[in-house]
Amino acid sequence: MDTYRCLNDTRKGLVETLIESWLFVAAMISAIAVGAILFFLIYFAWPIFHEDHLWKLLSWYWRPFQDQFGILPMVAGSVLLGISSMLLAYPMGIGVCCCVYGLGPRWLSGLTLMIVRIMTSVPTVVYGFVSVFLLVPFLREFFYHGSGFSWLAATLTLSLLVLPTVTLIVNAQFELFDPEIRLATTALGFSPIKQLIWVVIPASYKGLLAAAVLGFGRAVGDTIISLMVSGNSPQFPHSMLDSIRTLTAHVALVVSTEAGSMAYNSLFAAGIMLFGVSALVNGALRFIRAGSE
Amino acid sequence: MAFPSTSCSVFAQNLSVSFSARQVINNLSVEISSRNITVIVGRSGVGKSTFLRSLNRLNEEISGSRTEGTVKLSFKDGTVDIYRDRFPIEELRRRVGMVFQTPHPIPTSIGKNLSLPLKLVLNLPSRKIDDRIEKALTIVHLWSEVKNRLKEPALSLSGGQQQRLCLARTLALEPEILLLDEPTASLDFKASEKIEDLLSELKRDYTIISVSHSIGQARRIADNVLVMKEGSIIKVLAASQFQEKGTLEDLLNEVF
Repeated sequence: MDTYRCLNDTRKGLVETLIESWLFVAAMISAIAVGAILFFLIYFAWPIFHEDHLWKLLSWYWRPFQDQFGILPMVAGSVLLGISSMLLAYPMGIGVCCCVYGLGPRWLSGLTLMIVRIMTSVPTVVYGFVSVFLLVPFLREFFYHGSGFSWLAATLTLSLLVLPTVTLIVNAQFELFDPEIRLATTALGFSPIKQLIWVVIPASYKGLLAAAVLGFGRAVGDTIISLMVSGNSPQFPHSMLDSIRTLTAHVALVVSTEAGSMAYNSLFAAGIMLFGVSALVNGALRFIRAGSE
Repeated sequence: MAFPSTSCSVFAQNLSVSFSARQVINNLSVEISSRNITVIVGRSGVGKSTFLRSLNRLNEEISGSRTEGTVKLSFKDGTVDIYRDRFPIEELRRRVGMVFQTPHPIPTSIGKNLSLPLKLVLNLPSRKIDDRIEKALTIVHLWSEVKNRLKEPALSLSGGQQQRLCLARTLALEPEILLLDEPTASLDFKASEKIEDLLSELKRDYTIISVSHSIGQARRIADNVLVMKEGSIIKVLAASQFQEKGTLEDLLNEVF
């Protein structure tokens, strides 16, 4: 019996050691990959920071043929599009969750969540494609302004893309809320809407913050939507009907046409900025999680 | 149908409750008198909690529930047929307060556990809320223990204190009928004793209906005992029938 247990322990020990080593190797590979991306970004962008080209980067003009490589319009484009699509998707996502979580009829809850889950599996390019053929012509004819490829078109499309991210995170947080406390507050005479606003949402604020941060990260990180429907003019928009260009679309556009030039090198600065946004998003998430402990 | 008598507070007739076709309450009829403690006893799963929840329509929050029959409740300003009259459900639940087996404080401060319901359910102005909080916490003998820590999380209280907080939260809303679903089940005997004493004090102002698994407790606090079996009330016992130690046990042994 003892021999058997001993043998069993050894086997278990071996399996555990193998799993631990495998997890360690996987974690190290991921860490090294991220580190290498940052290293190469800085390495390739170094000439721009090092020489007197820096002022060219921090300008509002992207005119590569006139030796002007300003990426500020693209930074503004990314930030503005991220904010505007979140302004639309975030309240909408919370609204969907409130509807699912007791404000709407029960049959609608399951259906809505199913649709939102399906939305996550639709390839991004499909959203862009549908927008180009339906939304953009509609905006062009409705507003009589420009080509329709605009900040507004990108905002509307991107908010649909971000909506499931927000909805699923907030919904997961709502579902964590103790159903017994819900029943107890119902028994006190709370209406469903009062219960949500005063009890469930305050108790779920960490999930709400995480949804805002991750949703924003997803909006800024998306490439295809902005590339397909925002119009890609490297300018600061003066209205939502103006065309904009985001950092991600900018990288995609320039990489496809340039190689080795100053324009090409400036992309690494854009890459560092996107990397910075991603690091900030992760930092903010860690901060939120630390607050919950 | 007229309400059976002026001293009657709860009247149920041919009440049946089922969850997804599983019958839990089966053609139950009962009259419960006001300003008394009525204790419901019976084995697990006979429908005691479901019966309590049918008095404040809380079964409707559980999916697949279906209620048939009549439940009339007598309030100070009249009688309500709760499944037929168009009486606002939130107001019904305010008037028929309920405390559960395990305490479920809202995950916020001690003070807010009381002030939120007062603000949201009764729409009381803030100046009145503080008085009401003090009064409710004094009734449950919790005021002296928590008056300096109203801003601390409710979850920092002990189990017994949390249960008294939940009771205070319900009492602050000034209900007329009080439903207690095994309110001392998760408490030690000292904390149970406190709650039992409290209930005996409270019956002067409230109609109390409590589910209990403790025969001793039923004997100590009950004016009436309802014995439930298979979703129906099979026996109603008055206090005079079980005051001597052992008699209630004997009576219950007969019916189980």
